[in-house]
Amino acid sequence: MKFQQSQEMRNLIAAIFVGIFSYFIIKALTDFDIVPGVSYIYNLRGPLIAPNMITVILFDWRGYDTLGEAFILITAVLTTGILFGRGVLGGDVSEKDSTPIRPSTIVQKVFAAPLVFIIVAFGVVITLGGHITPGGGFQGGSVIATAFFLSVVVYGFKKNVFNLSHNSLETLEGVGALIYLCLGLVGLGLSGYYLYNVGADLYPYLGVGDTATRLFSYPDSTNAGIIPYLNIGIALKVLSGFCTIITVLWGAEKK
Amino acid sequence: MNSELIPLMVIFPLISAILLNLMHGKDKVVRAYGILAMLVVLVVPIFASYGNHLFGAHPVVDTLPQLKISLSEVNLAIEYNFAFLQKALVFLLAAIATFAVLSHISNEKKVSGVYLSMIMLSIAAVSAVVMANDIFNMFVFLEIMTIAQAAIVIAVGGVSGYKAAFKYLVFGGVAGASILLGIALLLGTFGVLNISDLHNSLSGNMTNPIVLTAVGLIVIGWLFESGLFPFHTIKSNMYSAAKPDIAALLQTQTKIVLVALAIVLLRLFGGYSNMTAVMLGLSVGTLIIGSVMALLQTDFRRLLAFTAVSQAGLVGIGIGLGTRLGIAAGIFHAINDAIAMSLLFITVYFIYERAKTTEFKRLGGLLVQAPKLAFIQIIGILIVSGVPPFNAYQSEFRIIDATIQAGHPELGVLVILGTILTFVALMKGFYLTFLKENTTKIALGKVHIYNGLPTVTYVTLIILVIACVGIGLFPMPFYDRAYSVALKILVGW
Repeated sequence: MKFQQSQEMRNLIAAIFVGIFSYFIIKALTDFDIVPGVSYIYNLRGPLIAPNMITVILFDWRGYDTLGEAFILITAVLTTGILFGRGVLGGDVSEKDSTPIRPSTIVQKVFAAPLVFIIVAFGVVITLGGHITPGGGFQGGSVIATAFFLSVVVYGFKKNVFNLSHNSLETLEGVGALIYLCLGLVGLGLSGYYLYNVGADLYPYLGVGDTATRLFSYPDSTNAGIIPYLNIGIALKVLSGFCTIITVLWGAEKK
Repeated sequence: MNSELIPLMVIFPLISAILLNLMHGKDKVVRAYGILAMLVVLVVPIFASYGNHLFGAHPVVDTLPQLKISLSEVNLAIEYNFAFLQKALVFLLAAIATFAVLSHISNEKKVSGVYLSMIMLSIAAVSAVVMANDIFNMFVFLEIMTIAQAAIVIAVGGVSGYKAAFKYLVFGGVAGASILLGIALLLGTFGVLNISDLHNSLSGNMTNPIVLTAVGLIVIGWLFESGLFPFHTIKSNMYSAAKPDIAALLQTQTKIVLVALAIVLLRLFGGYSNMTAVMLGLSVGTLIIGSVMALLQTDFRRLLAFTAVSQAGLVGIGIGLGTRLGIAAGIFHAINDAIAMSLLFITVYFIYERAKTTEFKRLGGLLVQAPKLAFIQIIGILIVSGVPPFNAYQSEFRIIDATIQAGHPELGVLVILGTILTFVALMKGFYLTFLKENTTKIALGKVHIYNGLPTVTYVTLIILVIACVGIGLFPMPFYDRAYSVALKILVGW
């Protein structure tokens, strides 16, 4: 059997097995009777914390999983950095400054700046109101990152509106992650449980009116506790993570 | 009982990872903080008291009829368990990681904060996987571990490193998706993510086709994360592409994750005899293929990489037997072998650092120049091959014993054969490195154990040998506890 034929045979075998596999998955999914389980209790008690149930599940009930998800993103961003020479063994490979591939037109230059500001404002609103309206840190951060990308595409790296270097982006990402980690430590210190929602004080470890709960009061009528602050940390982290990837890949294109 | 130090075993390495990344470029600060952080990582598991930790303080509550689940109580929070097994595995990981970090700090002219940050992330992830009693949380940290390990290999550079890391990430994506789909099916069917709750819900639902699909999907993930048969080349490529001192850490992490995931699989799906049969069969395949592949290698690092993979197969055989003796012996062997293989990897690290190569055709005649290294390496080879009075003997003997007790004496014969193959392969490596006359022009100069390499690594080797001899002479404190874990898995958590 020639190489070509063996390749074809291999693809055929792979296709058959993928077919069998998909059949079982689809069969499993068709007669699927979904049980609400714990999510029923999450939804029942969630409104005591904040109206946006998705945010409450993400940041309160499963807040520690969200921390893990955030660290998947951080690890991926750092790995991208390593791939392009930051932190490899034997000294960093220096990054080159890069310019836009082709100069922007006057229309782009005029309209990009106000658009960038509007997008950033929109992202900030999504982040700060994440616990009452649809949105949150992940979404707000990615919206702000699009503004960064737009300004980089139109104005290039040196003269863009944000003017953030790779190192300052890394710092921003670190600060975002540290906000999350340290808010969890506050709960550990005050109640003995990591990521305890100190401000909401759902289980009376602290007593309402305590200094700690007042520390995390947020200027709205909800009782969301540390959730808005976690949102801010996540937004900083997601924003700077995406921007770092953009920066690194942009620099790579010119090499 | 709530224990405040349990989350710190994950949170502190995560904080350190962020800080080390921010410190990158400031050489002295990175060195100082790296050593300090590793001390804390080592100390926390020793002082943490046994118990569990509920994240966010969400309690265990009575169920309501609307939940449609058959349990009387349900766990709302993400739960971490910490008992002797977790303590032993987390401490083992911290110890080997400390050696890896110290070796990086003392041997590299320019330390990389990002590299240390990745090591910290992998420590945090593996500790979380070991302690998590929540199947989704386990998945999240498995993903972090996969990416961090790939990054550690990418940082070494070179085509082989990039290729190994790329393959690892591609297959890691498939395996991760497979585990996630399995978890989603379980969550949809039973409505809980806590492993103890799932264990209680599953009993009596064994014939559900959705559960069967989930079992298959999660077993695929287990095979990948443990580097067993269909994925053995991917793991061994990772080990051989990494620096040998970090490869010691990577293979320790693999064995710890193997044990942690296998315990979860047995707790959840222990009722399926087919599942343990699949685990057993693929583990036997890994043992044989790994040791045969080790014989064929022409590079010492690749030889060790395949030996590490075949030893993972040996651990899998013990656990896959599904009997009390087998599970206990498998867990015990995972701990022993992680120490012994780390010893061998670090001896090869000496050679790699001095000669800048580990290919057999360019090595030879090192015995004259480094007699102490040769002595330590021959001890390491004897340990891995299961020679008394060292620790691996105690566990390999118990695995063979367990195969006979379980009614599969032919498996015992295969284990012995695999061990002999491993011994032959390792002795071949030893001969070609130390005993064969050096005919190549790349003479190694005055390679001496004290010459050019710091005492830190040397002390590391001594500590590992002492640990091997210590566990070998007094195995019962460890084995008894592994046995009680096995009892708990089979009887109920």
